Amino acid sequence: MIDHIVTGFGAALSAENLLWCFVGVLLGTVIGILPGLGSATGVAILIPITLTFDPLTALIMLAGIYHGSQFGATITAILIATPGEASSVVSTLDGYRMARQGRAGPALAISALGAFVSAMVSLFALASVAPFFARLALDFGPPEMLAVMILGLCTIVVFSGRNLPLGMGLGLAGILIACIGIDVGSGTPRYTFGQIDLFGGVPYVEVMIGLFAVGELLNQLHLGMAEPIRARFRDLLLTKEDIKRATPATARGTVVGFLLGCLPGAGTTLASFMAYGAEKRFSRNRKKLGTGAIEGVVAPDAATNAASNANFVPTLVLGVPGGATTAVLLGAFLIYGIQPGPLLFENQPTLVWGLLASFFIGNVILLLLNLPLAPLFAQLLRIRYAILYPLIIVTSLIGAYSVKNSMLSVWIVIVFGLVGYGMKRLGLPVAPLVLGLVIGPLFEKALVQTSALGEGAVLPQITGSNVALGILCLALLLVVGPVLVKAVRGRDASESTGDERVPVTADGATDATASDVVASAVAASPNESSLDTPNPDRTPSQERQP
Amino acid sequence: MSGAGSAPVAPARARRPVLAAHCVLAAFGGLFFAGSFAYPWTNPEDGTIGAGALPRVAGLLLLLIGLGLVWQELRAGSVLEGDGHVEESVGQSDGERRATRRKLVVVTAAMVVTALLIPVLGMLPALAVMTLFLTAVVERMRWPAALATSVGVLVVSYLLFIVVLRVPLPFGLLDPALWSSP
Repeated sequence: MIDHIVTGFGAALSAENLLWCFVGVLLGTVIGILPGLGSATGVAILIPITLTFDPLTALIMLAGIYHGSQFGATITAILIATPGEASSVVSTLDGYRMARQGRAGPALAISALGAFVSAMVSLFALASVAPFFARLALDFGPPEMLAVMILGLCTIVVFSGRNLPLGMGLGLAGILIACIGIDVGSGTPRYTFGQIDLFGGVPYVEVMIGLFAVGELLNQLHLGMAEPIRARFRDLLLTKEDIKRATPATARGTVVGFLLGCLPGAGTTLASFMAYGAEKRFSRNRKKLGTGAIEGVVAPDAATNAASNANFVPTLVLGVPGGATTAVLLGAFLIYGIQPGPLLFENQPTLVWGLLASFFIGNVILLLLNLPLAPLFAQLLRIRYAILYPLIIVTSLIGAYSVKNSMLSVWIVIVFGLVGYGMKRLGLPVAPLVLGLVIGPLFEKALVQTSALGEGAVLPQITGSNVALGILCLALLLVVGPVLVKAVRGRDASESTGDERVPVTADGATDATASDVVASAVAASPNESSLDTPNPDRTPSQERQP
Repeated sequence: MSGAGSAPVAPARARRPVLAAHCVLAAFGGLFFAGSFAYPWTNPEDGTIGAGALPRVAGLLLLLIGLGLVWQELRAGSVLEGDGHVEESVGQSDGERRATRRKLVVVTAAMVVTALLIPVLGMLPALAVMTLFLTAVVERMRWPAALATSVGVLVVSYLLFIVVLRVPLPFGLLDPALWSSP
């Protein structure tokens, strides 16, 4: 293997390749910053430019765009709650809170560091055990994917705050919105009212831009416009405490991201949501998540990067794209006459190992480029909001239009901007809606495929797979685990204090369940019953406001 | 949270906006549920899950959850807007609040008008006009500064999206194809 690595670096480390890798990373960062223009679109747009290049140089540049855009998308998610890609939606939850608390610098820096570390680990895993994980991915048929999607949907519990029925309702609303368009199983147009523009469905990128970017903008206008944030220089740097807290979160995010990234079609968005869910369950500071906790920034970013590298496992070894961007890259491989598949590593070692080495180089460039620039990017928040919000509208509308080159996208952004604003004013959690919207089509696809496999029967297919059953047990644990723990703790507490009341945590965005909500509504005093419908996005400082 | 501590917390009661939101959720579910009967539960050819299955189940569930939320709100109420449980504008007088609401309406209207203007003026000019309107009229910035911002938006967007990224943005009536001879 060492020979292969030396060969790879030998091929990748030419001046020309380094230059194009740098250009790719830089362009990717810019593309990622722009809402709507994700890595898939960016790579697709720039493939024609690379047609005259040597295949390795071209792939190095395209991979640079891929990695750069992942980080770029996080920058605006953290600074102005405008996620550049669906996978960076989760970064808005804590990253934006950190930015509003004057800690945009550490949020961006830890995001870059976490992404780098997870990229390195996942690259090592990709290089050493890619064939093993590819075989594992092959064992994942429709029943197992269906179980994974159910597990993904169960993370709604994590994003629902204290009102689980509300979170579930919003998740279902997302699934229903995703039902609009051509049905994956039969090709029947659903809820399109004959509008051809709707045949492709309601695109979640535009919905996300509306909900987050425009919704937050209108919310800020409602609040009387955010003041420019003038953070002290030392507040822009990472502290030892930040790094200490971020380390386990990065490790968890990397594992979750890599495992999900190996599965064809699972995508980086699901990885980022599930990594955040894992933090909500396992982090020492889980109570602080949603209020500007560094774990909530680094874990999803680590997962996104690990998943985006792991996406190359099925792409390179099986020739099956792991996600949308790797599907475009697969197209690029074919353009250059490269046939991905089990024999690629043997037939074209220079190219494959050169590409993997370029991933490493690209991530180093990304870190060198973005770590020093993090405090500089944070200066964006010094701009007066009177200038900033028209710019947010401009980039949101252009970004949305460029996804499909359709005016429908612009209207979707405006409509969902108003929906997002209303949800923020009423304290409704936005994340379950996005989760339903993203996972809905994947869930339905897996469901239809499973039923086709079982000739109409779904249940025997699932019960016949130990892997699927194991994943479903994990999903069940995710849902009922906290209830059981809370019940046990509540009993212990009431035994020791004689207090019969339902225990209530101070954090609105914690793992409450339906039973909690009903119980607190019944048992609590008028003031306490107010806990039924919290604002999960609330920060402690906001709670203090009259 | 009731432990907002220093702030007095208003008693929970049913709120119209919350009730309306929950009713909308229930109605949304109900509409999709009713609409799902236009599609088959299973595919007649192979018996696999059909186009109507997911929206029927999800729509029904949402209808039931929405009604449950309405019932819960009517019964137990909630503490939301104005009660310290959603971030509120601090230290604003009634006049300032009215101005803020007016601004919200104007900004939303500006976005809608811009979207209507895009097919006519083209994407970038329409957005530049919107930027000029928002900065000069809504935010009352000085005209030179507002003009500079607007022109800056136009130039940077043109260079980034059209020159570098080659995104085919609509040119509206400025589209050369409209004016070139056949």
